[in-house]
Amino acid sequence: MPNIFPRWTNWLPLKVALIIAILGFLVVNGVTYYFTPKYTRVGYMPGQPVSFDHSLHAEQLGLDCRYCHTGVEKASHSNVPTVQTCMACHLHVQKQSAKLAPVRAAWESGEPIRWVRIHQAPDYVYFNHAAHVNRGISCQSCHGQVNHMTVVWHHEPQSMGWCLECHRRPENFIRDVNEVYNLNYTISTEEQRILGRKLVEEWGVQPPQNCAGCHR
Amino acid sequence: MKDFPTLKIAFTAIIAGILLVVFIAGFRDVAADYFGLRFGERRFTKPPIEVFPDMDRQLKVKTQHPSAIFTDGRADRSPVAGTVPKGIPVDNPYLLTGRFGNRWGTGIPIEVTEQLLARGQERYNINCAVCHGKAGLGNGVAAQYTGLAGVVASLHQQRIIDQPDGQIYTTIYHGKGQMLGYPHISVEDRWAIVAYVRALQRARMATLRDVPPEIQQVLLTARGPAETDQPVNSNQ
Repeated sequence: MPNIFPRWTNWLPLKVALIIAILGFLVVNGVTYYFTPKYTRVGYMPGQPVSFDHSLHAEQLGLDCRYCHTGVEKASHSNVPTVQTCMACHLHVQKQSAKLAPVRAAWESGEPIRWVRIHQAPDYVYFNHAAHVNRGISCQSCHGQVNHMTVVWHHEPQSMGWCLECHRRPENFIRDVNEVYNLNYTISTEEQRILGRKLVEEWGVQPPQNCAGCHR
Repeated sequence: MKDFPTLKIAFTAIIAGILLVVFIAGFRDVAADYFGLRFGERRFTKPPIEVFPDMDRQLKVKTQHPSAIFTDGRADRSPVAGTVPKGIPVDNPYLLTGRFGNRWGTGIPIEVTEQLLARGQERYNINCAVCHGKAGLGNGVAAQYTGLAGVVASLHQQRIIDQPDGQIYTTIYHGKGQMLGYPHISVEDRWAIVAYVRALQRARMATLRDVPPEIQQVLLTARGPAETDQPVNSNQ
């Protein structure tokens, strides 16, 4: 009986298996990185209708986050300021500036400024800002050091796995309520562990890990 | 393949290259966390791709989001003129307006506790200190800019000390002169700020006798023998 398959096919199954394994590895790694917000969202830095500079206002001038984001302690969303908030100063300061022309136009017309939204959870996620900032989770934990950003960009992945990192171990991130709006706050890992445990215990912090905690 | 060694080497090299890139990318977090290595921090302006967009964006009305329901893009209709927002104390006009009829009223219409003063201090430092300064001297950071320099009032002027509480409350609410109003500050917080402004004014006119005896001693040793009835801050 003649050989149907030539000799080189003896190793073919092994080679095929090896290539499939390599491809599998590539696909799994690629998907877990490139298909998730770690890659798709982090670094998103859109242009805005007004080139508002957080590093000037929040860091150099030392404005509190809540001067503009007035509702963050009360509402589930953290509002962008009304034009009136801008005009409280800019009615007088830099009133000829071309950069502020859209603000003045909005002030005249009453039409809102269409800021480009950067951080946007899916619509089936019901994130509540007030619940977090009033319990010692800083702006910085989810948005990075916005006070050093000239143009705001998406700093953290804000994926579900990332949320759960903190919901499972809040003691690694929780801080004193007076430090929530201090975006230059630093603490050593060791001190954070001690303080975190203390605060979690004192306040009875039990972040939900069930689906209905955030999805309804 | 035996007859094409160059092809074989090239093929192996390509696979190894792709592997390395994906390996580094896949373990970027590990590299960053444990080895401090960062690979090309990306900045981009195009809206992020949503890989699995199932119900990520729904047509419901959302906060701070244009709505497709009305042509002007607003989800809410403007309320009819004269509409009273929920939670506004209509049955207590002084609490809301700082006036009795046409006259300013004075007195804080909510209970002044240490807690309220602390709240007032916090709200003052967020909203007012930017211009008026943390001590109320009219020297906040914004007041040093052209356009506001010389315009911002010191809260320690006799004129403002003499104002009824209701008038200060109204200034916070609706603004006055060059100052725009702060209607987003809640009614209670506005009164808390009024109470704190009064505390600032009082503190500036305080004499040594107003501080507890044990602190008097500390102050006296700090500034030497002094006239006990003079205000602690002598300027203005």
